[in-house]
Amino acid sequence: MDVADDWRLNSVVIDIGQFRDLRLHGGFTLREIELTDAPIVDAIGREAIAQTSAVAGNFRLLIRAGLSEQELSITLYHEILEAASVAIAEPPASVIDFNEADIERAARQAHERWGNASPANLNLLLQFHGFQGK
Amino acid sequence: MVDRDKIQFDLVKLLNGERLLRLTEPQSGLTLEKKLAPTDAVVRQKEKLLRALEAALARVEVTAA
Repeated sequence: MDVADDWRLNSVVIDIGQFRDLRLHGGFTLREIELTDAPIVDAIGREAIAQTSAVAGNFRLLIRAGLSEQELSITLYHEILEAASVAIAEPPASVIDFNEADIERAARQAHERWGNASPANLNLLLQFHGFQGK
Repeated sequence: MVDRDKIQFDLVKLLNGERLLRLTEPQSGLTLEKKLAPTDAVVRQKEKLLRALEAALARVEVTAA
C-alpha cells in the first residue's frame, strides 16, 4: 500500500461551506470562499477564473462556478498554496523557489495523493510544504 | 518600510491562464500590479513588487510633505 493512501482524507463532493473561517497552517484563516455564476471582471475588463485576496493572514477566495470537481479541487489547492507563499513574511524553504508551474504541479500532486480538497487536506498541503502552526 | 499586515495581496487567475499579482496599500490607495512570469519564482516576484510599492509610497510621502 502506498503511504499516501494512509493520508487520504477524501470527500466525494466538495462542500464550499466547510472552508469558511478555516484556520490554516502558517497562521492564516480562510475567511470567505464564494463560487459565483457572475463573470469576475476587473476595472479594465479582464475576465478571471479565480481571485484570492490576503490581508493580515486572512484569505478571501472568489472562484468562477462551473468548474469540474477535479478542477475546483486543484484550484483550491493552488490558490491556498500560492496565497500562503505570497502572504507570509518568511516562506518555507520548500516553496521559496516555486514558480507558477511548480505550484500547479504541487496542487495536482496534492489532489492525486489526498483526493478532493477539504479542510484537512488543505492543511496537509501547507504542512507538507513547511508551513507550521495555526 | 511598508507594514506588511496592512498590504492587500491579490492573486488573480485570468481566463487566458495568465496570473496577476496586485498589491494595495489601503491608506494611500496606491496599487501596483504585475503579470507573474511563469518561469520565475513567485516569492521573488512578490518581494520585487513589494519593494517597488515601498519606493512609490516613499515618493508619495516626500511629495506630500
